[in-house]
Amino acid sequence: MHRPALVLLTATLLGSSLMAAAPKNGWYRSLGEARRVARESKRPLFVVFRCET
Amino acid sequence: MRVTRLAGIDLNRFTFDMDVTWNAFFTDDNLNVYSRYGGRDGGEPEERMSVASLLTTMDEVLAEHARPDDTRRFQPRRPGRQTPEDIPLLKANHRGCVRCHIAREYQLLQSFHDKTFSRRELFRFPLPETLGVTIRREHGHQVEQVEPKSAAAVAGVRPGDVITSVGDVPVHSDYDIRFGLDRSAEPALAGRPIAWTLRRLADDGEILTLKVALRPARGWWAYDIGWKISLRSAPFRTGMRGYSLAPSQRRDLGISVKTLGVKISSIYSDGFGRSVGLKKRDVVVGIPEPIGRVRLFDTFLGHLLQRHRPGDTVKLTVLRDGRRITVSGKFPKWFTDETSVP
Repeated sequence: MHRPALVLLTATLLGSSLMAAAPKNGWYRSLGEARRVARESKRPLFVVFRCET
Repeated sequence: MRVTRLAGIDLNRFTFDMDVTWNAFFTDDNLNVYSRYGGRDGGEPEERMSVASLLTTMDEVLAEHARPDDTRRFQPRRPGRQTPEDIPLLKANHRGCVRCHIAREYQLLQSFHDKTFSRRELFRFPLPETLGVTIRREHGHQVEQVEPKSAAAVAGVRPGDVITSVGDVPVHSDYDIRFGLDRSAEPALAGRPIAWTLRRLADDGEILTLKVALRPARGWWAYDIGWKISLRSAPFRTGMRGYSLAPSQRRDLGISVKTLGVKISSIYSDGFGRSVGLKKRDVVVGIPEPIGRVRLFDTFLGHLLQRHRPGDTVKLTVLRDGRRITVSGKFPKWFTDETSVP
């Protein structure tokens, strides 16, 4: 597969796995819920630590 | 998954430089870590990151995740579990939201009061530049430049090499390199060579896998930490306040706008300032050689910590009463009587 296409696919897969049944802003706030979705979708988790004021 | 509060988070699993405002992990559903992404240095907060390098990391993580369960390579972690609430000083003194830097500051204070603090604690997650390599920002773990005669150069690292492991850490990002270097800098491993695995494209088009051993000098892991907010809770008693002079103030004094020019506004207790003989109204212009201008007083303190350790004789070039003089004295012992974080 041509690399740019693979990279795009990568982003899509990661995005779609976490977007499935996600809260409306696209991010899970519960680690347990995110793990459950990752398990069911067989996708890796993208866990972001972000300082919000 | 977005985490905005550290309460209840296992810091032995999600280990990162908690002075940053953004950091990411890629894991499987059991929270085994494939890769870390993020990190910053003394430059702009996002200078070490790019969309292209994030995509590279995602690409590699998906490839790793697609491997059979028993052959996936995860990053090592500290044994046991530690949440911020397991830090006694934090549990005793902190109420409300546990921000990342708050947890880090309590770790520093706790280690000092437990007598386990060492200078290395200030320099966690060392930059690959400390070993003589710069990383191509658009890739994330490909070597861009190698400094001549550096530990990396002596080991045979070349521009274009892709770093695929550091010690026992599989590498998919710049921050994975830093995590590997952080583990390599642990006191128990001091003096031992640091093993890197490299992927190199040979002249004939063949892809080579190479193992090299880096043998850096003692204290190789020190870098610019003046940007870190957690410095305020480091056991470094400065006993002084000051500020970096504005360009107009520098012109009045006849000093460059491009080099150090820090004015001491008060010496208020025992500590670094008194120990090295600084006085109120001194202007520090060198350590002792001129160094680049700093915008913040804390950046100056970071330079001192990067260069010196307790017991060292410190020399500073100072303007005092219109004359350029050198003051010197001992870098003081680590000390703080703080037990809480503001």
